[in-house]
Amino acid sequence: MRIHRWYKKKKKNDNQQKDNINPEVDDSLESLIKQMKVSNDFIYFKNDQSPQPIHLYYFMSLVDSEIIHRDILPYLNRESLTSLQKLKQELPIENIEITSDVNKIEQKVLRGSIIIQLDKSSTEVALIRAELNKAREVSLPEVEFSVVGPKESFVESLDTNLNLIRKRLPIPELQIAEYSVGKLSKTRVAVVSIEGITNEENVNTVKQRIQAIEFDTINDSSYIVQLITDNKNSPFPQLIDTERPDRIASVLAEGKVAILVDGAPHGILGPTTFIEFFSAFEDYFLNWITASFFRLIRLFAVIFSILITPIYVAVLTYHYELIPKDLVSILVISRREIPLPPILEAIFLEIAIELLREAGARLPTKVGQTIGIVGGIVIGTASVEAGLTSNVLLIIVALAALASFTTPVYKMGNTIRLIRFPFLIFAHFWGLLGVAICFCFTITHLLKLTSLGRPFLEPIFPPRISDLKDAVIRLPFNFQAKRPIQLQTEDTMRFKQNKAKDKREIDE
Amino acid sequence: MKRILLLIVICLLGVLSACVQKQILDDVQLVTAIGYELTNENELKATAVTPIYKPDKTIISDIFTETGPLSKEIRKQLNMQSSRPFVSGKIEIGLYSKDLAQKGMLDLLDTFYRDPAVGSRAYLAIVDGNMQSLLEKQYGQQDNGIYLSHMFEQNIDTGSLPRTNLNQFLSAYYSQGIDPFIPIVKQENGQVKLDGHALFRGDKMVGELSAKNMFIFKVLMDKYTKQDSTAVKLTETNQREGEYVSVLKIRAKRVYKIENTTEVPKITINVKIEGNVEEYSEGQQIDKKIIKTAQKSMQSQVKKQADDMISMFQELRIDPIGIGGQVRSRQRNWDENHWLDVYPNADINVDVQVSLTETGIVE
Repeated sequence: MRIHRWYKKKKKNDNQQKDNINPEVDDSLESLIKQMKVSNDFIYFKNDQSPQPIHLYYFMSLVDSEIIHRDILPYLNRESLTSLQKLKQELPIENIEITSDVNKIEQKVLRGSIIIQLDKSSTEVALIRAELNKAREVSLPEVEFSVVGPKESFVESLDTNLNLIRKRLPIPELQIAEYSVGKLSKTRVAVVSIEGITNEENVNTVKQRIQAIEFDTINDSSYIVQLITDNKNSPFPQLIDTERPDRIASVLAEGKVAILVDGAPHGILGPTTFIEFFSAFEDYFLNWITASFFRLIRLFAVIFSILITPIYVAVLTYHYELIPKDLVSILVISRREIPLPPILEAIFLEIAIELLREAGARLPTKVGQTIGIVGGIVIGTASVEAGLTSNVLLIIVALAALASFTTPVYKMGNTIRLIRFPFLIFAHFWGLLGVAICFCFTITHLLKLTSLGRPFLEPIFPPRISDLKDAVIRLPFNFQAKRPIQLQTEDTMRFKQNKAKDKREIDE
Repeated sequence: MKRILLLIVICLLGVLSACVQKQILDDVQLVTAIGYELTNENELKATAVTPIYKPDKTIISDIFTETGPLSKEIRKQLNMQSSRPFVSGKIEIGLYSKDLAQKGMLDLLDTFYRDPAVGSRAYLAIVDGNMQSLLEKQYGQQDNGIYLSHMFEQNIDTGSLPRTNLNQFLSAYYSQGIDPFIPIVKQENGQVKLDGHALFRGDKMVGELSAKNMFIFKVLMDKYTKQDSTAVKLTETNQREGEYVSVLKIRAKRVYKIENTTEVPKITINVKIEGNVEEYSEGQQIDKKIIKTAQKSMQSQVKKQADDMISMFQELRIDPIGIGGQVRSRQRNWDENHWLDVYPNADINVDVQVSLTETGIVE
């Protein structure tokens, strides 16, 4: 096996790399302050008016000046403060910490606390929280919009997001474990679960993986998804990200684990299944019959979107016998003038659609819409008239693109757009046999995937009949009394099924 | 190890892709119908019908003719005339001249069912008259192969053509106790028309069934003739001499009664026919009397025609409606040779019951 020796990555001996960025700084408070003073937004001033001189240090860019002016400075002037203990009693702010731990001081001041020192030489300081919370207002969900149902979505502030969840689950069992991830960004990452429902194993997997993350800056929840996902080389997302607090609250109650990241307007959910990526949260707001119908439509759309262009290419290249006799003339007439073989024709159109989508996504909303319309109509018609693509294929590709947008989870939509291309290439090389082979590869890959260690294709494989109640078809709520088997929850019942079944009349 | 395997698979994908023959739809010459006949030198003459797709989206059919000893040899010759290779995958109908059918046509059908591209549901037809002039004429909006195929389809679904195609022919050919038949088409007044059936013993055409017997043939053979109609001449009463009623929406059921299966069998075919009267040559007044007369007349007419037809089959020693198969299904030790011996002398009776249930929406 010499060939793949070059694959193997060299083991790097960088384990001894230091956590500290600047090794010259020693661990004293004095040197910390000296280091920070280099930044112009670090403020130091000595309050001379008070009987006892007080030293204040803080980052102007991190603290809320309102709190300083209103809640701190007036009290510092009023009384004679002899000790930090007294300061703690005087100030109308809770949770004032008195410490001499330099690491803690550094951490806190970088998160927006104010250092108060009575004596410049003493190592003991008081830390007062005064961070500036500049976050977007809670607004409408844009990615997972729903016509009915709650219209709030996460924002970039972890505390707001946690508040949105806690409001929906006011129980003490809702547990939040917070971690700081990222060597530079020190991003707060919260693992949310419900004690007594969520399987400890799942929670521990998440916690362990988050603690093991080695990375410098975590700017979004997607970073965490990529870093903790089971198979990093799979095009399929194995954790759902959602911007809806109601969705998080509902799946927490089902027994899943949620991860929230400070600075990210999306929460992460796991363990999840393949089918769950095709269920919109709106399905639960609709009557079960309508919801099931829409789910089936979505499932059909996915299969259609992946397979229709490859089948077109395969049939036109190899299997003209399969075309019904009345369709032959339509296909031949539409392809009569086209010089390209079906595969090039298909790839040309698919790439045109991808370009339109990419351009639409990058441009500002107003221009993006125009690009979509102009691109769709003008380029489509023009390429047909120029004889580069056939009418039939234009319809097929447009429908396939439309169908790929029906997936409620954006990342899964992207995957579907991507895996169409290998299917196309296989279809071109080996016809329908190639499509079948490619399908086998995809299914095998999906079978091997796991989400936080739980099988990804469940309830289809391993077959769990009772989990099918909320998979392709969503049965009514009184059938949903059991939590999914896949999650191996500690409390398996969501509610008492018998009680939910009786209809109470007024006179009872 | 797994990566190497994947690498190999990807390499093979590229390398082996040339091993698969590409047949891009618009780069092949589709053949929708092919006609075979014998030349004077006893060679095969094939006429291939291909659609030509014109820029104004109309379709016309074009024919290519070539002679040769074998049908695939002819294909080679045809390719020499054409800008695109001829492919057989869309052949909807195969036509054979009468003299060819009389000589035996299994060797010609062999190339059909050996070819995986040809569907086993392709239709077969015997051409009465000139093959080339039949295939040359433009019949409908489509090319002639599709036109003929639609014509057959339509007549099987709604008319008096029993289900028939390549698969049915071969199944009848290879089964015991049933003989194959193929519809006959001929050109008449510039239109192509179904004109009875060619009856086969083995793969040789031995007889013909005229067009007016097609209705009885289907009644005796196939499940339903729902949208078919037949004209019944009123008899058995002097007053109504020369009057006709038309019977529509016919449903036919058959029950076989077979006695004495080992010796010369006595076979009774009970045929139940239901239908509606929707036309009467003497105008509106269709009363119960007329219906009764019509029922009786139809019974006797169908019975007579059916009896005549079956005795003709017995004379020709053929069995296209599969009476032998019915006997075989009721008998443990069925011997084909014995059956063939006794069949011409078997006592076969057709018992017809007609009930005319409706007379349309006018009383």
